[in-house]
Amino acid sequence: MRLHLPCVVAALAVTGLALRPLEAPAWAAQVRQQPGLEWRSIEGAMGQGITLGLLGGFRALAADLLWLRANANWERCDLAGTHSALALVTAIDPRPVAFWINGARMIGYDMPYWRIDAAGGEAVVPAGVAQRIMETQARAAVAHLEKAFVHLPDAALIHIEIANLQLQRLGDLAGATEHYRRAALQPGAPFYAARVYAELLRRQGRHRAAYDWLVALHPTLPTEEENPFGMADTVLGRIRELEERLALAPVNRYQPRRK
Amino acid sequence: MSLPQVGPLRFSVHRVGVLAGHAFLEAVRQRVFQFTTLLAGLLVLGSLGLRELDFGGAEQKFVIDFGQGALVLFGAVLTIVTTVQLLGGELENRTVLPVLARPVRRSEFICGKFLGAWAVVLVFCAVITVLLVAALWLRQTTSVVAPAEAPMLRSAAAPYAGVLVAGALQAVKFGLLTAMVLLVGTFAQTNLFAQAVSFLVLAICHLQYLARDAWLDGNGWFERVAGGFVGLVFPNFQLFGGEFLAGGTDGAALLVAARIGAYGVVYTAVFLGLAVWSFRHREI
Repeated sequence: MRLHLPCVVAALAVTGLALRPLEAPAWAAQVRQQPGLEWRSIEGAMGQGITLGLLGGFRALAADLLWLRANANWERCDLAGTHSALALVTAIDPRPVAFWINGARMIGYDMPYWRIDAAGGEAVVPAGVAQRIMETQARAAVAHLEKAFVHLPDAALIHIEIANLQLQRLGDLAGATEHYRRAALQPGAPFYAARVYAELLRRQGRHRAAYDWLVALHPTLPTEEENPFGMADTVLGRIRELEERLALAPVNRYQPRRK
Repeated sequence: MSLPQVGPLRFSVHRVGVLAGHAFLEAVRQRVFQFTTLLAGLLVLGSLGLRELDFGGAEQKFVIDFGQGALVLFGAVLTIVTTVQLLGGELENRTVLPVLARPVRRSEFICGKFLGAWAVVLVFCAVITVLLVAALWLRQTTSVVAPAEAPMLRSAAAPYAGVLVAGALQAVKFGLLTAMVLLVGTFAQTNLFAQAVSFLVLAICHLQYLARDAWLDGNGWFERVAGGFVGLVFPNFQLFGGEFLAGGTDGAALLVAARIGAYGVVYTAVFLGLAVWSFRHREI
């Protein structure tokens, strides 16, 4: 067989080359549904690539078991253990949005208090230091969430979670506004994303931009009877408030079309 | 008295059929077939009970993932073990000699073993896919419909067609794997070696996409050359995963499935040809 091996390899290489035109479009379609399969670096391949490639359908179960472990670590306020378990969970199965969001909440909202407690508690740690810890953890949570976009480029909930961290922990109103805008533009976004975006524009004094956004949004919403979560009447109320604030002439005011 | 002139033995589909039938009967009597089918079937149905353990994804996705996982894992084990036993067993026990002493071409022998082994795997794929469809149907009839508080929470219908197409793609992949194992078996001296190499090849084929992408985007010449070599020589098994069916089984998805099917069939023919060629050169 020693003599035959080069012939076998050569035949397979020619076949591989000949089948590339058949393989490439099919592989592109596969990667579109699962961007985690895409090569980014040798480090990525050694970690996530191999896990994705070998675990196959059992990824979901393996990730669920690791999620239990992450929660056990979280109950013990084990910062390093929780961090590593969260990283493993999202490496093994990056598809569920819940893993990313709940993981980011642990990092951004719970871990700062663990660190403050470890440093002696809120009574001992100076307010400035505590604030820095809060901001550091919030940035870590945002960084964790940003990794999700590789696998879930259209996930509105990830944008919303980043926006909430920026709003509540980092005081970054402009950044939060931008993420709510992106969330609202994603397919299947919750109705409230578009409303919150307009509200954040209003808070920044950008009343005209908020008004234009809501006027464009209102005709796309279902009626209250069709789906009360769309809150079309509330949006119309906010449009009227903005018209008052902008002192728009009656002729220039928004006239909703009857459905 | 002179002996009658005997011309070269022509390839006979009938003889291949007889050999395949014997191989199939031999394989279904093996414990590995019964064991893997039972275990995979229990896992598929058990996924309904494991729904409580699902924290991340949608319940339906969990059941599909779990069923596909059982199909891929136990299907690969069944393919490798069955094929090695069918060919390697004959070679080790020397029972291949009386078969080849008859008017049977070596190519017919290999094709018969291939068809027999693949038929067993096809039965396995059909059983597990039908069980998965049944599990999805059961899940659909017992699940609670989420309120329409947001468009994304609308309840999705079970993708039965997608599951069936994905099952068919796995069957094509196992056909290719059968041919690969036969190629390994034609030059392996022991069954253990053949099984070990086959599982290694299976792992490489599942990770082939990394090698192929390393050829395109890798850093440094070694990464690129090594990646290019592995990416060219081994087929990409991740293609058969059926992830593209998540978006539905429309015309575009079926076209992709057809491409992947053609890719698998061509590769199977090449590996089978190489196995025949290698077996012809083997001293028995």
